[in-house]
Amino acid sequence: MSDTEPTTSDASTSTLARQLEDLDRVVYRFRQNPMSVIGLGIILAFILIAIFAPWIAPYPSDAGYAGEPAVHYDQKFEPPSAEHLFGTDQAGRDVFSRVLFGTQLSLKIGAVVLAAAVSIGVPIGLAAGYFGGRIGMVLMRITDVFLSVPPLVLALSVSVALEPSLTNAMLAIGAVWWPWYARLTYGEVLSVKKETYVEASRGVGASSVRTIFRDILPNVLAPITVKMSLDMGYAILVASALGFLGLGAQPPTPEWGTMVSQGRDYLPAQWWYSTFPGLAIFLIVLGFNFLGDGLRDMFDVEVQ
Amino acid sequence: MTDPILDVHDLSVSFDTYEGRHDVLNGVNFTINEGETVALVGETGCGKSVTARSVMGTLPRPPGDITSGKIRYHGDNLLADEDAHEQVKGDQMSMIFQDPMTYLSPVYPVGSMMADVATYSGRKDVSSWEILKSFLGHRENAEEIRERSIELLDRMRIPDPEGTLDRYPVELSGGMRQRVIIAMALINEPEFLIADEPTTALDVTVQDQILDLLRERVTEQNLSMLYITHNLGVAREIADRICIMYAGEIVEVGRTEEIFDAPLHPYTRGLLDSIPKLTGFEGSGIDGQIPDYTNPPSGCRFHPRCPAVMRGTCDMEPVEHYAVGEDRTVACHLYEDGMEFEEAAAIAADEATYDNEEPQPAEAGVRSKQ
Amino acid sequence: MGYRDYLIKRGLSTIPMFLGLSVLIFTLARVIPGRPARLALGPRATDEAVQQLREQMGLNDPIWQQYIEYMRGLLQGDLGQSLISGRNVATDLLEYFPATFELTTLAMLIAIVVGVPLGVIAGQHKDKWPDNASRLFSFFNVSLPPFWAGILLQLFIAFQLGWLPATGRIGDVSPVPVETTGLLLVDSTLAANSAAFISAAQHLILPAITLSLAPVADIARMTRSSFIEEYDKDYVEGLRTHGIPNRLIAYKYVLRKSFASTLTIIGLDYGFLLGSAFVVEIVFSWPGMASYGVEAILQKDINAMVGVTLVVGAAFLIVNFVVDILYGFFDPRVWHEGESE
Repeated sequence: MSDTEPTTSDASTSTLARQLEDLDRVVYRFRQNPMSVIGLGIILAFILIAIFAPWIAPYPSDAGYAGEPAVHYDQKFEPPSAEHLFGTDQAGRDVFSRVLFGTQLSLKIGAVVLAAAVSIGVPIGLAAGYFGGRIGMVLMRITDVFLSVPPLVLALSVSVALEPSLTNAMLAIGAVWWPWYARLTYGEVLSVKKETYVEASRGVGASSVRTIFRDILPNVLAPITVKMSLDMGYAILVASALGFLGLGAQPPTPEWGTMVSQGRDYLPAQWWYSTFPGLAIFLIVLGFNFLGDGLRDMFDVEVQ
Repeated sequence: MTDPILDVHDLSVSFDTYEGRHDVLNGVNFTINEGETVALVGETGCGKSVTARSVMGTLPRPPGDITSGKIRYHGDNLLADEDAHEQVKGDQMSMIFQDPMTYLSPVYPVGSMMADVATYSGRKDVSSWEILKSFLGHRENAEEIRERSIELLDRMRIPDPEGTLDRYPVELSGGMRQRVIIAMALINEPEFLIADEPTTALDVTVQDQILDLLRERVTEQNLSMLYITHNLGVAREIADRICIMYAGEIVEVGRTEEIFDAPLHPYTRGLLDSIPKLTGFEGSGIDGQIPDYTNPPSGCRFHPRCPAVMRGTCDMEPVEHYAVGEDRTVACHLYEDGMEFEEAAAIAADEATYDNEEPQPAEAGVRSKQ
Repeated sequence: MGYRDYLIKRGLSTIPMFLGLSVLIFTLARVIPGRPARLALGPRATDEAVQQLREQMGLNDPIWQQYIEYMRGLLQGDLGQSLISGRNVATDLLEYFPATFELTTLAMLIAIVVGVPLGVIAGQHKDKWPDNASRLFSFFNVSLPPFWAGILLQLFIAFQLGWLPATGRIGDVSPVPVETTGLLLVDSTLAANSAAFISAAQHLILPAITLSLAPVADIARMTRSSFIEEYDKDYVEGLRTHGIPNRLIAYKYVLRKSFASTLTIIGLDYGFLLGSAFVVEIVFSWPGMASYGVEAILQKDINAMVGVTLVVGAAFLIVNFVVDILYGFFDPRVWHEGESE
């Protein structure tokens, strides 16, 4: 990045032109990867479903729209048909409607978990990288300890002290997810710090906070965005696993993991009950993985 | 004299890249006789290494593509018979490289790699069982190979040759590694060796030692050698004959002392001027850069940089190799085919004084515009 | 620095990690929100009962004192009493851990045996169809929720086709293998009990495959990229110049170096696998430590859950230590270059 001093208007227009050109190339790289386009399509479809679920779903009240989920015991365990695309569950509720409504929950879970992880991890990584020295070392050692336990297991050990609920599950996952962001940010800050312009702005007496916001933060944005899109799917997976174990959303909330778990009691006869919510998890996670991979190619960043 | 051991005839190689087609070699001709060392000298990027890899049969294809020519080894065209090429590559030809730091596998002791070269060189394929055996260090004639390796390392003046076999490359200095690489190249007793700038990456004192060792091998084993370098000084120390290469073409061939006494081609003269004398750095004898291979200059490829360029001739008419005297060819419009050597040398001397009078070689093109 | 020094140095650095880990787990379980006794007894318990249990569990002491007590117990193999089983947590874990270990280890072996060749093939055919197919396969694998993948396998292989049992660890076999290691495959082999071995193997296959899906993908992708990177190195050209057959170059030289990178992924994936085991054991009613842990969470059995997490964390640390040992073997430069790495 050599354009730190756009002195003339000429220089700044050429910078703009260059940025547009860069954007062009970035979009081109994204479109070169067919998987990322498919991923984008899947995610857009799920977002639309999440927004319009009350209108698309044939039986919104079965999913608890405007009230407690309805029950129709006379219709229980009907196999998939034109009337009930994904069949019905043990309370006669339409699985298809419930899966559609589950989309909102899944997206919300992913977003909340990642927001929590980023808002804890990024400041810690920034602080550790920027101040370095002993503070940095202590912060990163703590981060390493968190990283030495598999996230799902750590989330489980947090949730032992909490009542099982969707909120608590998100809290637990968010609380164990931040170290990845701390480490990523830390690494990026170190490499940005090496570049001279941060040194220079420190030299002329720019305050720490300003340096962080002006020079460092914009540079770590791209890798963090890519990491978030890659993690979105994984966060949804972990949350659904907690739901499956009965530690997340409680029935009859139409959460996918919880639904798979409920349906497991009726295998193999009522196979549809577990199969379709699971398929939804698989598709949304696949979508985010495709998309994240495309974004990684597009911004050309390494994240692990 | 008998037939040459290697005869490269009209070799042309192109590379396809996203920028287009690069004609990297354009009709390269040279021969190497038995027991002879020939140096191929030119700037970085002139096609020396491509020539070497074409001869070795390790040119990556694609993107490389040999578009024409013959590489005759003992009279057999290797380009026409890939199996023969593979066979020759393992048994009779060998090659050493520029950077000793990267040409040894970091994960095995050097002895393991040497033993593989001794055992599997020239083989078409190996079974999984043999891979496992090689991995575990088991082989039929392990003792014999080990002795041979120790003897070779000893001849390479490596202290503690036996211990060295069990060391990893990271434990050895650059000079030691280059000795190991040479030993590895010689383990199957080849008769022909290609050396691709083997001293460039080394300290000056180590360079001399390596050159001494190579010379010793050449005499003792009657090796024929193609020695590639960008440094005429090094070529003088090792070569019997020198081929000067520019932009994918051989521009001058002659005996080493003759090239130094009376350089004919203006490019050769420029190279001689740029031999480091005291500073150890290359001088700047010739201005400009090697031309773009996707769209090479018309006529003589050197004419845009040539101090003796003749407008209307050099930029129009393709240049051919003219035999000048005995064992001497030059590709330059200043000379004519069949010219006596003395006459040519006079023309060259004349041009050289003219060069020196030019105050600024940067404006070398000016003369032709007058 | 020699290999031995490297191992010692690496081994010693595991100890502070384990201590940090134990502090972390201990704190998380007691501090958030810090009502283990109440949670354990349920909302209807009297205050006296809660108070009594707190006293009994030592929860009234300052947290650091509790921690020291706990660690002192840990050194003597005492992890506190489990509320569910009424036994010492250590005793419970000894009973359940081998089943989990057997399952996760087999899953990892499957992942390596399938993933590495897949990666090499993809690397050798970079950007051609085998590479693209393996890429797509990997995306599918990492996107599958393990519990759902397990259910699908049960539906098709166990229920529909009836090839393999859907749940449990061993069928009705007699004689039941004598327990020596707790690993059924090993025990039945030691006892030369082929019926038990076959039954145990049949029960292992589906859950092990389920667990291995994601690591297969990771290992294949990692092997591919490191293989491609390594195949570009100068020494490969050197070997080719000497006329060494391609297969020897690929499998002896290139794969060994690139396997070092694959190893690091294997270490990370083992942790991932231990996490997935919690859901997969439930799906297949596998009587392992993860099932025990899930039960502990649902019953608010703090001691049991701390014990389980500690063992998982320790297992993860140990696996990564082993990975580093092997890494030193596959890429000797890490210990030659020593501190500079």
